[in-house]
Amino acid sequence: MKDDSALLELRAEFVATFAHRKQELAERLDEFKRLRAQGREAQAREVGLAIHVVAHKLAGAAATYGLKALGSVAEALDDLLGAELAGRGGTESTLDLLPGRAEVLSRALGEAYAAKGDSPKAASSPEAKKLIFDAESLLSEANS
Amino acid sequence: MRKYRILIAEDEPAIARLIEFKLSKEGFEVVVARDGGEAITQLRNGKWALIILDVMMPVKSGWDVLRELRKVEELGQIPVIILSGKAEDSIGGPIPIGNTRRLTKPFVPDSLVQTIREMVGC
Repeated sequence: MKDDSALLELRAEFVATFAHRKQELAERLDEFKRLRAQGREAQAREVGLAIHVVAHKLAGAAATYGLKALGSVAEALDDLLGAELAGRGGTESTLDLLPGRAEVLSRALGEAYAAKGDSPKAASSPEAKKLIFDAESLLSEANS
Repeated sequence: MRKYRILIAEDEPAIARLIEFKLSKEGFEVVVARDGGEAITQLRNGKWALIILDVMMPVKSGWDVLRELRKVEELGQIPVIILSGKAEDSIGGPIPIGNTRRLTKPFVPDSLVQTIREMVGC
């Protein structure tokens, strides 16, 4: 993307939303954990789908604005949740793994917001690498 | 000089703002709908040179909007660009109906403009 001042301003506006997106993710996660603790699996799955939408929207926007590290983490969570929650998988382990996986995105958002840019450190953590690896494995299984 | 009117149906504000900025700069008149329901309302109440539809939207998905659009005679031939994510592309999705193209995120704004110009002939 050509870095003229208006585009940089748009990108800065986008980055400024990361605190709110991180907060939204945290609230959804709390709700998810609460529902699971109450044994309300169907409602927990619905909240999981809402978390998927958060990851999906962030993946597309982050990548389009050139925030590759954040985009790769969001995309991995998007891929995993999309496949596993939206009817192309959906095992018990999906719901068990969701909080840990969503935390990876939350950390990436926090780093990106603090840096007013991307999140290379969070994206290269062992947890992020595992998330990305799991997403790539799932997709390559689906395409074989 | 004729202004081509484009409807963007996209609920992610960061993407909608970027497309709106780029297309306005290129001389297009742009209207943004924030969900599939609003998109249908706008479509029925205006004349459009082209529509950009995000796939995952509240109320109605981009695919649902496209299906409804193609059923209406006076709207059926409007060029449509479907904006999808990589995961949506990997599962294929419905076959595009009518004068429709798919663009995957991330997209390059200049490529979007080029595609639009090709589809509307300007």
